[in-house]
Amino acid sequence: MKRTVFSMIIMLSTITLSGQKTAVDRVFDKYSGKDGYTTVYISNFMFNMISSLKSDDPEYNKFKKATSGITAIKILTQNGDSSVPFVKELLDQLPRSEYKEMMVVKDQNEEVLFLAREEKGLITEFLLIVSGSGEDALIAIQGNIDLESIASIASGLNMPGLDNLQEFDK
Amino acid sequence: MESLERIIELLERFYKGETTLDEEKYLEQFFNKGNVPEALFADKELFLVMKEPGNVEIPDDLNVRISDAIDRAVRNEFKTRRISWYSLSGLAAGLLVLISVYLFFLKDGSESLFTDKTMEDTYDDPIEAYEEAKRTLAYVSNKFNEGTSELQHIQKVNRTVENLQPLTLINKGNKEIRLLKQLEKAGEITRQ
Repeated sequence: MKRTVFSMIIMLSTITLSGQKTAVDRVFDKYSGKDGYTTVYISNFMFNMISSLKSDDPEYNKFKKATSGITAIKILTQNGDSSVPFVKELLDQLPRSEYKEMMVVKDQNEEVLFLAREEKGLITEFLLIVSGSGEDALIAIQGNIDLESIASIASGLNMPGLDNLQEFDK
Repeated sequence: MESLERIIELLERFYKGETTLDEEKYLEQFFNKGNVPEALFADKELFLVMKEPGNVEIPDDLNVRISDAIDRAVRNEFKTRRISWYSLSGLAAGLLVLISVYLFFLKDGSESLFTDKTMEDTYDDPIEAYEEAKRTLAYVSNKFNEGTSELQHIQKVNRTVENLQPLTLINKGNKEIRLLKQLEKAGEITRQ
């Protein structure tokens, strides 16, 4: 009796042990700190710090609104010819039933894939995956994501592409 | 037989320690007479022994044996209790360790992508973090808008469809013309 209880507990703990890392985590773990890759991690704590900043930046309020629900941003970029693209590996491991494809933008030299994980009608994770240009990139955003206000950030920065959106609104 | 009932009653009181000396003497006489019914043999022996304890041989080591037995009983009780406490505390400690390990990893695993402790903040300065986050979000936003901007072609299609609206007027006219044709046909038939 005792023995079975013990072995059950051990089995349970090993199951949770093996199931704890996601595909994104694994890719980050594998490539972060290696030659030819750059990782950036901005935590929930840092976002709290940012939101308590006093800034004259005209973008600041817009930024604050867009990031109010965001708990973390992770970025992994591949740069230089010596490194290997990682996006294929990531996509092979990613559970595609959880991450829904929102949009794919392809042009001559790169492919941008937008994936979102939804919970109760809210986007809780947003992945932007760039591949094909020889410099793969992954941007992962977690939290309650308000895509509309993120999309509006570019307007203040005068990015190409936004003009089109405003035209579309007319 | 009346006396037998009395004897039994006296015996009961004797066992309870309520008999007087006279009554005990009476009982002693009865048992010593030899004319004792079989049912009372056991009582007879017990009574005589109790009246004269000197008849019973007491073993020399009785004291030692009794105290040994008591010691043994006490030790056994102590031993069993100690064993169960030991095993219980061991079990509890083991369970506690396993549960805490389990909870630790369970908690770890439930926090999705951003759980691993090896990942540390890239920036210490919130202003730098702000700049990087802004740059990143602008990039995301830009890419996102690039995708959605392609949707404006749909609007172009809409506009073209709007331009086709006059065609429905033509359609309407067509219908009326068809009615006229039918009238003409009817007129031809009546003329014939």
